[in-house]
Amino acid sequence: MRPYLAIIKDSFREALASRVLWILLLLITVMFLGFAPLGWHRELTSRIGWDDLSRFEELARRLVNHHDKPETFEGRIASMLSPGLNSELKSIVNSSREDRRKERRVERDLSVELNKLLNRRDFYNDEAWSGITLNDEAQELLAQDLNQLTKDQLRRFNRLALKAALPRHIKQRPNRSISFTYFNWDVGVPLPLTDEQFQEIVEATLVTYMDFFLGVIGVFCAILVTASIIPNMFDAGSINLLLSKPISRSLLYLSKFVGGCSFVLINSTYLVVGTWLLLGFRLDFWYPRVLLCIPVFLFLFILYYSVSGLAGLIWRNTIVCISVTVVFWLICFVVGNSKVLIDTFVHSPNRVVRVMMVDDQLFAVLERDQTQLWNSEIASWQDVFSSSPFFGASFLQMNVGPVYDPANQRLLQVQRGWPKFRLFTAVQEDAWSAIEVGDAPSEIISLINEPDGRVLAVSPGSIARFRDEILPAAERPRIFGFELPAPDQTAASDAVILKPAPSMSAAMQVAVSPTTGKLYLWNDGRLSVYQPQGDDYDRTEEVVLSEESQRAVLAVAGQHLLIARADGVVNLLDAETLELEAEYRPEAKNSPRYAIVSPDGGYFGVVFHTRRFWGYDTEAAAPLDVRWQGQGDISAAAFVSDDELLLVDRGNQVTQYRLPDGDVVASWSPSGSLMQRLSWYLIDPIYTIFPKPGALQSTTNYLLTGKESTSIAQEIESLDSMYVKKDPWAPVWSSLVFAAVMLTISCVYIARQEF
Amino acid sequence: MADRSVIEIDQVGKIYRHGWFGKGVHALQDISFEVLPGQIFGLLGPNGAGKTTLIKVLLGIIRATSGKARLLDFSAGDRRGRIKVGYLPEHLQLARHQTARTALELYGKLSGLTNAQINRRRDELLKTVGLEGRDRESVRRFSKGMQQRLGIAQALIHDPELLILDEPTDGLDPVGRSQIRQLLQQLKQSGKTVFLNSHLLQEVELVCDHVAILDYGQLKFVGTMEDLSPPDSTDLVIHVAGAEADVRGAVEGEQQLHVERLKDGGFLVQATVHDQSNADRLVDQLRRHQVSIVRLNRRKKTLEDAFLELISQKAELV
Repeated sequence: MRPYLAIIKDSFREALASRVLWILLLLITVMFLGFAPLGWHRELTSRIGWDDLSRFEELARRLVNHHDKPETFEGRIASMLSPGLNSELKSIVNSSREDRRKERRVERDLSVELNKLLNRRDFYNDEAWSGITLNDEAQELLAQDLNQLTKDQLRRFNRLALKAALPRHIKQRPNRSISFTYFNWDVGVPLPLTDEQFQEIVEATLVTYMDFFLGVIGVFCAILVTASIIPNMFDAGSINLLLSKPISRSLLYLSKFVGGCSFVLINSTYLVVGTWLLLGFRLDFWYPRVLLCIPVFLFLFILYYSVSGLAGLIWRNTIVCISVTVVFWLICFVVGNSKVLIDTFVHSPNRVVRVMMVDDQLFAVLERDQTQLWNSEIASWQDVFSSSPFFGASFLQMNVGPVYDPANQRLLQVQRGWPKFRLFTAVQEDAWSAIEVGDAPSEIISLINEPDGRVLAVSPGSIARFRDEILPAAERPRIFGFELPAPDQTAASDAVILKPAPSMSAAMQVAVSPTTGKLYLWNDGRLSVYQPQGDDYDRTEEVVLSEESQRAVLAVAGQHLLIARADGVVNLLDAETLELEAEYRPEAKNSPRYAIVSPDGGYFGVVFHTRRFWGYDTEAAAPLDVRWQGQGDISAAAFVSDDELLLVDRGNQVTQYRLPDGDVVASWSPSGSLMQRLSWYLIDPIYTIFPKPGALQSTTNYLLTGKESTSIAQEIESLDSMYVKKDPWAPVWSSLVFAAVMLTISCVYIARQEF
Repeated sequence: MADRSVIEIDQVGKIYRHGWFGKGVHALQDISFEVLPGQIFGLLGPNGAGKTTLIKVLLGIIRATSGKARLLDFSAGDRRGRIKVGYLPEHLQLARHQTARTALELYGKLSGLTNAQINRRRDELLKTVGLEGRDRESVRRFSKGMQQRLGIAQALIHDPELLILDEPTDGLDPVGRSQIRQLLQQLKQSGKTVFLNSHLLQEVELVCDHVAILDYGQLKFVGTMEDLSPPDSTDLVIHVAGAEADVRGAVEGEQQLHVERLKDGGFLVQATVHDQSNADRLVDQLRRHQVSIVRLNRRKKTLEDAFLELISQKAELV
């Protein structure tokens, strides 16, 4: 090995002698020096940002209406605001014309003045706040005497008092905020972030930073600098001398190749280790996993360099090497994006995301919101219940549901229309065709069954129950085929009163136990339990399970409640006492899509955005040990009885299992469409074997964050929305195989070629 | 072929083909000779004669189309043979990031040496080739001659049994050439075999004891320097006057003789003679045919004369 190590060592010498290397190292150093003074510290969250206000119009109305009642907290707050702002609020409330721009300006002004009020020791007043329950933290501060509090504590207390008084208008924020500093000077406003949120932001920034500096700039520079190494080897006075030595030609080439990688190794090591140390010392985030970026980007470079090297062997020209590598990059880009387009417009929209069995009829709901019914005669799925006008626009999530209402033997579905949400029903007698039956409560986020089968519509502001008798909607007028807004329809639902009214947001989740009828509501890390009282619900218990306002999905039945949180943690609680029974993290940090439970509460299941299914046996108090077919591509699950489970894999293949052993008792396998088959048998194999340098970003993302799937939206409120699942290791394997093939061809070529 | 030959070349041929269906070019045709231990063997030939091709075949850089070549008892290209060979290519190019020290370290290791062995040899070699004190400078600053000296040092770093030098004095000044010649003599005295490819005939004449001449891929001569140009062999140039029939009649039947008509009406008779009696006999024959001797010169035959004579034979054939 000595001769080959000598070649590698010589390549390191060559890299170190390169001016480009030193220029890059200098630039990296300058960048580090720029980041070095950056720091941060925690402080109590007290600021109210303009985005912390919600339902502004309603808030303005409350302040204006109570302006003359200083004994109320609204009146007290209004009396402390400047006359100018009060008159602006009044003009907004009294204006019949909607002026969004003015509303936003006044909303900002209000947040500024509220922030000033938080500094006042006389802001809180016992009389004005009578009847309002302060939380534990506020009560502790109040007990210390407001005059004795520090400025930060006072602002914190006043914010808590304001939040307690206006829970629907002041958003829940973490207790502490992050303030960034530069040379110990505060920079910008404090950001109300939990540790986990801060960590996520740092991780996301880190992924972008690494992808840009290493994946784009670093690799591009490396290709330019190293492209000449192999062609230079073929200078007549150089190659003859090398080939006269007692060494293998193939190993000579591989040594030169490895040596060429030294350039990337030096640069990426310096950048990554420096970043790691900066993160550790300045931000106190010690991420050893950052160091794994070095081999990943070295690998990415190897992929390109294997092509450049082969071009160098054949044409022995640096310009040709660079050109061929750029063309290769373009081909990879086209192939990768073709796959993304096919996934977006063929695979994902047609993937089953919900499945249900209604009187031996199998229904499936596709990602593009189309409901389908299994037709056993032709062994295929057929569209039913068509109400969505936006074919293929799966990410728009136009529909909520459908759910089956066994009491009235109908399917119910809500379409998120504008300006109103529209309710559709379908019955078997009409071959499950959609009939519009009226307006649904606005902002519905989910439909759930009560134990008797009736359907609740859950909105961030309220819960409503659909009536048994719903009349068909009036015909909508049309002009040139376009529907016009319809006149008000007959109300199809009745409000359900939850006492006391919980704070609700679009991120909340509601589940009703089919065995006890209790309603469980998760919002901002707080779990509230409501007992049915006639047609309404009374709260019996409320616990804070997480200080962080995390999203979660719920499933409850029998003695157990399952909460699967966005950070991948699955908690099993006693449904009565709410005591934690078990905690799992089956999919690392990956988020769940939804949870299911068998009717008797014997089994739970969670479908993750990684398209993996996790089952739990409550009797055995352990996860189900079953090899599910298509694990890794499971997109939907449902229990059809106490011990029978349906799972959907490979898009629309349904398998029925009997638990706990996981015996397959039935399956429904349709043949794919022409486009699907083309994709399965032609495009997917090509994509699989083709290298995917662009997809290595998902590997970095996984290494840095531990997440395999990402939401397609920047900010989503529901976990039950489409995520893009990325296999972090697939691009590594395909690229590895490709690089190995390129290197093998190169070795054979140099071994057989005459020089 | 002798059992102990350092180089054995037996009916070696090489055809270069250009493209899939291109016509082949015969770079070497049925070349056969051997080099024995301790010889300084010169390979001569005009440009394009196939000298470098033959060296590449010996080192396994290219494969022979026909015939067999062996190097130090191994087939040409065998790594066991190459490990005992030091090679200086024509137009040596050293990487610009290297210094004399790092270059010797690299090529020493490529020849299988350890760090300790390299360290033992390096300083001595740098002194031998005249690069002492400049060993830590980048080769970027080296002149052509200095690079050539470094090339010779790398060829010697592993103390090879056989040195194959392709134009070793290329780019060297007269002093440098002299030093290289002395070095080659020292190597010969130490029992090394040197296979020297050069187009500088004088240099070959001064250092080589055996020589092979290639022309258009064909072996025109192989043997000792004495065989190529014997020490007592001279060229006799006689300016004569007389009738052409008399002149031609006088030299009829003579070998290695050439008659040329001059502008003044006389003739120039050139002949290679190996001793004085041959010269006397030629003069007597001319006089016997009534040819007047105007002027007579004798000149010792050089390697260049012999070389050009061999090459011109080919030219006449062509």
